[in-house]
Amino acid sequence: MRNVQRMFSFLVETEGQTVNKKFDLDKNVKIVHGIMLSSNRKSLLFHRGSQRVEISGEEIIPENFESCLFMTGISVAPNQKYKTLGEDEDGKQHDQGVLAGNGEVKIQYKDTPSPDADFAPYQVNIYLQCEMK
Amino acid sequence: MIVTQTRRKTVVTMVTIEKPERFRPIDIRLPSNAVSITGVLVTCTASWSNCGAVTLQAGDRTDIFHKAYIGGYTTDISDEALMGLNDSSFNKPWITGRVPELCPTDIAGDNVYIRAWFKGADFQSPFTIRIYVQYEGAEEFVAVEDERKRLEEEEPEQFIL
Repeated sequence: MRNVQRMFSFLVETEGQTVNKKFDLDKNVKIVHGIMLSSNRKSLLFHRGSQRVEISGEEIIPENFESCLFMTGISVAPNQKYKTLGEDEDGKQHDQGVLAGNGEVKIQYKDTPSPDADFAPYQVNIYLQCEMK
Repeated sequence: MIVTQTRRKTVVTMVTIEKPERFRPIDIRLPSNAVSITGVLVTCTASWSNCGAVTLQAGDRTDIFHKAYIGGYTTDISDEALMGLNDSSFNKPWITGRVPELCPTDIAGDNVYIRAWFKGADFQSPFTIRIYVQYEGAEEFVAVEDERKRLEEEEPEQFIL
């Protein structure tokens, strides 16, 4: 078993746009341990972004969940940047991960106007920390 | 042996405040299999500080288990700005990494209905409040595992007929 990072990107080209994207993980990815969001215009992603994420048909992140909750910064150590998914046997939030299943990742990203960040086209990057077998 | 697991999910409730309001009740409905509330977070899209406070009450409407003061993210003034120097923007959350995160709680009992109260303060323009309630569901059936594992040592090595 080894850990790999996968990155998916898409563009938000118009204000208030909802972007629906579907990505496929490698067939030998078994578990998704963590998620992180970034952008080429971080202030726009922070103030305007929200998303719903599904992995293999299971809703991992519900609709209207703000993107800023999955962002990180340069002051954070590289090994601590990912938001872990799943719980351990005691129900505590822990790096147990979620099963990748058929490897299909569906993302519904929504851009919402904000007084803190005027719109300009921006790119959203989604990083997944995966375990391969 | 029956194998079960518990899962945590999050319910997001959005409320738009369009005019100055003193109090507003907000009903949050959790799924009926919610056993306990394990995390709460309240955020708002306003650009000024002191928008008000959101108080959350448990299902029996007696226990207040969380109170969050809400305000804009970008109101922190850096030391450089206070001294009149150009703000190098190193205080932004996406640089410091101090992004909002769920506040852990452990509220067991009847939590199907959560009543949140928004108490307004300064108002400059309409803004949206998001209330994240993370709950832990009841144990779910996963599989039935055979308790007796087959051990090769217990198997006969050969059969003599």
